[in-house]
Amino acid sequence: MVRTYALVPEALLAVGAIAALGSRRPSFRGWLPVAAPLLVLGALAVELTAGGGLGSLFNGSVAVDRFALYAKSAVLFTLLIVLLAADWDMEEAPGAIPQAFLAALGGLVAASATTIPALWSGVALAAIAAAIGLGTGRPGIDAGAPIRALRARAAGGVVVAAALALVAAAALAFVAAEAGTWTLAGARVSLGVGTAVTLPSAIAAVVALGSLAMVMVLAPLGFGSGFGPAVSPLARGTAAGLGALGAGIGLVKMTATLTPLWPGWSPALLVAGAGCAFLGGLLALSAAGTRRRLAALAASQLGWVVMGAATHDRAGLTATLLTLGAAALALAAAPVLLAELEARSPGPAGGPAGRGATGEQVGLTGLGRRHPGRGAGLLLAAGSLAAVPPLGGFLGDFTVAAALAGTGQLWPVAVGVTGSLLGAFAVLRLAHAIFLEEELEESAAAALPARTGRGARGAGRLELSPRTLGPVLVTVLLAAFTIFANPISGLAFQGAEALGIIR
Amino acid sequence: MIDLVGVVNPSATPSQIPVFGSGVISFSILLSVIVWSPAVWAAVLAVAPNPRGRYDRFFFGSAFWAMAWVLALSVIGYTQFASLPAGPQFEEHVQWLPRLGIEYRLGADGVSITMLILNGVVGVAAVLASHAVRVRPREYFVLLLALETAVNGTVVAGDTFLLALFYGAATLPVALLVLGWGGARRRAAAYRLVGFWGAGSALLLVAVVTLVAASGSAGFNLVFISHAGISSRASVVATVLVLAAAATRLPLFPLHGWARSVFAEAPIGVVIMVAGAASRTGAYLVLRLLDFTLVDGVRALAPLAAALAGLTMLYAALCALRSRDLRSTGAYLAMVPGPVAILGSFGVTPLSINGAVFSLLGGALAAALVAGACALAGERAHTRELAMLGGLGTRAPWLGWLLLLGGLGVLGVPLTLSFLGEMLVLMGSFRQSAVGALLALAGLAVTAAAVAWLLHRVLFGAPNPDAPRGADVSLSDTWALGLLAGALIYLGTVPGGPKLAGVPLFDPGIANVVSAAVNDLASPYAPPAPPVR
Repeated sequence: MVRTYALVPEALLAVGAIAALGSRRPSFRGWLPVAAPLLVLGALAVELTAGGGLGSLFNGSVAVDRFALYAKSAVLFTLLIVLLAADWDMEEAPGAIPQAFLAALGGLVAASATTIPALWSGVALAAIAAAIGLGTGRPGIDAGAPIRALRARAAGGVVVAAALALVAAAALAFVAAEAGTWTLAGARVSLGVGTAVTLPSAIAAVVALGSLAMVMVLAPLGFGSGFGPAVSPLARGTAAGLGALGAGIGLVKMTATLTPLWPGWSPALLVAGAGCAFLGGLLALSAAGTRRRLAALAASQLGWVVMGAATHDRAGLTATLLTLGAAALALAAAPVLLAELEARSPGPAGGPAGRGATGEQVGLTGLGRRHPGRGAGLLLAAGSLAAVPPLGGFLGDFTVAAALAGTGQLWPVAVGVTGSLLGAFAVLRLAHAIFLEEELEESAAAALPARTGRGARGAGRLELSPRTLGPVLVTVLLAAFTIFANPISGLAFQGAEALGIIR
Repeated sequence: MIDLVGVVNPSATPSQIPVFGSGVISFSILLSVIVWSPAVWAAVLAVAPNPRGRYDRFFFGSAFWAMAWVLALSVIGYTQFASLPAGPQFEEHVQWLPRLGIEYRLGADGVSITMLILNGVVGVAAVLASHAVRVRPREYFVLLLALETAVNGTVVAGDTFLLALFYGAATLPVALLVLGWGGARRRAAAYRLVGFWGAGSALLLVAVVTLVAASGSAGFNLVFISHAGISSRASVVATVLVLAAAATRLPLFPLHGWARSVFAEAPIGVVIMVAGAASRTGAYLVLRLLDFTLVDGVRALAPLAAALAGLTMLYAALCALRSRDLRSTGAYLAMVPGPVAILGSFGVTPLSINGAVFSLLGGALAAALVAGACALAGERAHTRELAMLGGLGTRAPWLGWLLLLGGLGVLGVPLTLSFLGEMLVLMGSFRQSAVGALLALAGLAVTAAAVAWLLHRVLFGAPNPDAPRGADVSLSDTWALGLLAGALIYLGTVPGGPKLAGVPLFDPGIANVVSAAVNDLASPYAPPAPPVR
């Protein structure tokens, strides 16, 4: 039996966002590093217990099913990773924190939406909150030209996100009008029962799915190229992880809804996904810096998500959900961990001072010695994005490949695997920079305080605090995806079933 | 978990030829402990505090004991192994991704258990040979231990997906070891390795998926797939894919691009580990997946694969002969034993497959020994140019003996395990794959010339007055290479195990342990029994 406390996670996130927005007191800031993850953990615990029921709330307006359980858990885990990875000394209050909660709230709304407007609202909230968060600077940065440029870029990001959301809204509205109903299940049924496929409805389907896919892929790409080290690390993780996940949830739900309409959109999605997976790997290999390299890896991984969405069957949709979950976790972790290093790099306004021998940002060099937890977390996240076995991203990509091979579509698999192989080279470069490149010079190293007692400063000291334990927990969570792949994939399977894909 | 008296759960099935001490110790999770111990210890080392490098030597010592622990457990598994029943023993089975039919399934037959011993010996030798690593020792030994986990996991995986995962997992540690501690051209060597091994791993994964699809199996269970009827066409496709995956690792011509640069640039411990353990997983793959599962594909491609193996031997021997760089010569010589195992696997006779198993083990030890000795000689002589070397035998007698044994091991002279392997392979494969066997013989002849030339240039003759003065190997290096040489000779001398009055002593004998597994592998290729009159 479903009770209204199934909505407690949404309520907790809303409370978190309001609390973070409303307080600037230093004493409150002191509690944030512990309180925020605890709040999310509480929401997750409630979701995993209350979300286990089947049914709906408010006359069918809110779905409580296995898809909602999987997607909401993925959102909450992603938010937890963003919060755990963050270095709270570098975050302003309220800054990017409320945006992170709001973006997660958008993801939750989209996950349990039963109508097209609710789905759109959730996706738009996630995308726009994530884009607004990118406009938040970090403390200690002069409000000069870098900040102005940052604000302009963030505004641009919001405009792009809003524009794509509006395009999706228009297309979805058209689809709803064609179906004669606003509910997703109703649209699926009526589109499947004798509805003549018209060219406008087919175009609307392609535009709706395409715009959602674009929001999903653009979220990490924006992190990679558009925003410099002056932006809040937490906001970057929010944009990449929660922004992409919100759009991904919308994409999966709409894919399931539009399945009976016209399979013609499927090749278009396959081409886009395979191209994304291959180009992402290629760009990751040739990228000039770590940020771009990670963004390209993310695009490659999300290409697999798009390919999985084009399979029309339960195995494919299960694989899509699995890949999306793994990608979201890695996407949330990598930008936060990396952004903090960039922000701590010496140079004007925290900008990167130079590059190491491998062309990576200088903050990465010797990271394995100064911050082993952060280095391992960053490497695991990058490895997962590049589908390095046996990390979560690999398991997801493998299931997508198996689903595609099962339907006889081998060329996207070949293209995607080539992209993943190229991505593996990129991960090798990262691993080399993090763990094997020579230490920075003394002056540069001094600007990067050691946290574990293995660096030049604080030798022999092991500091136990949220900012040192957080990255370690992130690493454990990323590794846990592989170990607990069985229950996760089982839930993804049930989630795909809940969307009505039983073939 | 562990019952020391064997009352509750005595060892799998008692051997018909009881070895003293058998059935005393049994583990229910023996293979998991063997596979994951190095990884767990690597994780501990990775986070252990080391203020100002105070405990740098601790990493060497603890890595040594971790490898010794793995070797000791492998020896326990070997002595407790029941020789006669075919099929995997010490099995473990946990569901991992049941919807995809993927399980965490481990099991060891006679070949696997001896491969574990081999990996253990090579692992200990690799750590000993790394005693001089002073730069980032923590990272170095962590990666070496991770590599040990990958190679051990490959040989005991009972699920083909798991096998492919472990097979691919060896790539990153080796590449990072080369990249972090290699010579001047380490970057190119590491990237080549990732390219070849990464492509091989991807091919293996595709092959595994093809196998599962063709067998109609609901899962990746190796035993189930091997007993499923696979169509000839699918069998040939999967055979090509697996052979290509193995060729990148072993390596076979023309997919050998990584070998020279990696063996020439990697530190000595990594050279030993790659030549003796990591690259041998390629030959193991062929034995396990092809001979065991894809009989039609093996029969169809046997002449081609055998010719490829013979060609590789000839090519490697010619390259070794004309090389002017000591480590490159060692690299090419280390490439020679691998193809022998492939020739045996594709000899499609029980004799050749039996030889392939011995060749896999003996060749691994010989390759590790010769590549390690060449790398060490170059380091001790302070030069890699063969033209500059000479007379090292008088200045470094231990090194001279070890290099000599390595060369003889690669050639497969009597009293070494590689002799047993090469002899059985050549005898068994002549009838079915004459071209491959002839090419292999020619390769061995040129290898003999190359070894003679190498020994002449390095060990004998008057010392070069212009060359830097060389020194003999250290105690640790002697133990490292001596361990490999000792194993090569011991196993070649008493392959049936030492006996006292006909009763096996502490060692059941490698020939006895692998016999049931070899019979199982070779059963599809056995000639039909003559009609009874």
